[in-house]
Amino acid sequence: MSTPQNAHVLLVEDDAAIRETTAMLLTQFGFSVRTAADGQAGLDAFRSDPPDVALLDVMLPRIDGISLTRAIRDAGTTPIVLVSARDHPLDVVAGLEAGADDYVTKPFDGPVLAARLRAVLRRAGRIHDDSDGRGRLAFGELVVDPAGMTATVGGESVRLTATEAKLLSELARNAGIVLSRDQLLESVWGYEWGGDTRLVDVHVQRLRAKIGAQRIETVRGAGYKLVR
Amino acid sequence: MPTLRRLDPRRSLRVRVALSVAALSIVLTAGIGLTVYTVTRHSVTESARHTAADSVVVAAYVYNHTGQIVTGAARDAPSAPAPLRGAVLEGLLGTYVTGSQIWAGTPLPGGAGIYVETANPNTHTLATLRATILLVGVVAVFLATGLGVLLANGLSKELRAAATVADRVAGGELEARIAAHGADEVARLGRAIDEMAVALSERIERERRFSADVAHELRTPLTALVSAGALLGQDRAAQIVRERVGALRALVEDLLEIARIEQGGEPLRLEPVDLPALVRITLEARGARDSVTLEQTDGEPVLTDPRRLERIVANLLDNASRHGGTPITVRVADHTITVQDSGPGFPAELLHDGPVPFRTGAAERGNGTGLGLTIAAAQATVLGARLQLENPASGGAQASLVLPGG
Repeated sequence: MSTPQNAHVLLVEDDAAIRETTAMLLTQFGFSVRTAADGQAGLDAFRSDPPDVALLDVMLPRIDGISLTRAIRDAGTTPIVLVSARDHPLDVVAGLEAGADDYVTKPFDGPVLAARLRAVLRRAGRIHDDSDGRGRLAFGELVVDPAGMTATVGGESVRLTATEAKLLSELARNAGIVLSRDQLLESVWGYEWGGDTRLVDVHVQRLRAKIGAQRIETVRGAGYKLVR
Repeated sequence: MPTLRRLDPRRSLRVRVALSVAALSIVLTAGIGLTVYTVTRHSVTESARHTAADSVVVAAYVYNHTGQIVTGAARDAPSAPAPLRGAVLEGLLGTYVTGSQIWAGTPLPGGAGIYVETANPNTHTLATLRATILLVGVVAVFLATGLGVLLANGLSKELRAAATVADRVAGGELEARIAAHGADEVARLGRAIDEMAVALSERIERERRFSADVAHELRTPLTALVSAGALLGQDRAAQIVRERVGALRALVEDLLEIARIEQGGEPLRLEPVDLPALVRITLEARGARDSVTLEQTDGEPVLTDPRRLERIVANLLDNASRHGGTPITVRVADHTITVQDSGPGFPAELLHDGPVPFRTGAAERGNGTGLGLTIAAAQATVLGARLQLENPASGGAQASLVLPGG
């Protein structure tokens, strides 16, 4: 398994017992963990030393998790995983729309949490890989480089998060073919079964906002496809 | 389910009011008609008698002074009615009515009498009066009955609508309202029922919210417990802590799932689902692929919500393996998924009442959350499916999920 050795996790969680036990668990799984107890401390810690991945509780004092997600997303493409005790549809969607890559609900299992973190780190890691020479895919103004995980629209580079880049690459490699939400959950997020299809829906929306809404078509009851 | 109570037509307010109004109007019209007729007949006959008496007095005067008998009069008419002749012979002026004729007679000097016979002019008038009273009476009865039916219909309709809404509320449709207009007693009853429904649903909502909040609040301490448990060693006490924390977690998740279903906030995500494939994946995910016999016939994909369906199938499998025992058979045919075990069958009260939270019927507590079948039944309702529980003749307990469209 490609565990990013000593990947830096910034854990922002106000409940001391959860903060402590989660940090201990993640350390066991080979992560290096820094913690913060509220949103402001989390933002300060992020600015002073950007982590490889941010793990944020949704309900935080001073700056809530959704606002913190937005602040981190505005600053760059650092992967963000939300932790929520409330799986109310609106909470999850608000977090994803603010820029989170994935979420886990409390209570979580150590291995599951570690797997979610590794999945977002793998996606982020690929961005820095060199292009392996495979061809870029052009769709009119839109040019996607699946290997380099980048895209340009009309020659201008589009800033994508790792998850968005991976999602766009999957759609581009299969341009004109409908990919189901479950297929995308597996190929992009690494869920083999039981992922939340809203992850796909919200990320497609975000991608549409960046490359043009008409490029990704919703096929009712089936999934999404990139228009050739 | 709300049961619509059928009314015995004879006991219906509508029919009773209509019949009462009809009967009352018949009695009233007949009474008034009869009185008017009797009084009128009496008065017109009296006036005819007076006219006849005047005529015979005139005839007697003429005869006494001229010896002439005026036209229409007769001296000692033998055809005059006997009682009149008797009275005249006794020296009296009299009139006598025989059906269509009016006789008048008066004595003449010398013992004889003079008589006048005229056609009773009132026969025709009274016949017209009878016909008019009858016609007006019939029209009045019909009008009154019709008005009564309309009134009773309106009243009965409002009452029946109120009863239907009350039945719907009793059946669990807590947002059903009568929304009565007006200020009469029926409207007041309707508003009282509406207020009762509001109070009832607020109370249910408070209790539902409370159990959902409790389950939510339990998640935070559980999170640290789950993680801390995972960090413990391998001794027996640590194993028990982990196992019991797991049970607590399953209970909290099940409570939250019930709260979510009751809240109804999450939309159905319908997609074409290959039922045999979904059952296979569910079995594999539970490591039960080898211990369960799967019988399947290929069919068209079914449009349903795969996550909810997977939950139902998983809960039915859990229930079968926990209370029933092997061999377990799962049959997939068209729109139906059947899970049959080889245990003692469902308890009689489960078959009778349907799933009730925490009523497991198991001698030993602590294996399951006691909510599995409740969740399965609730999710089935959300999918528009039927969950049938039975103890077939072939033995064991059998749960059949029939998806809509089959």
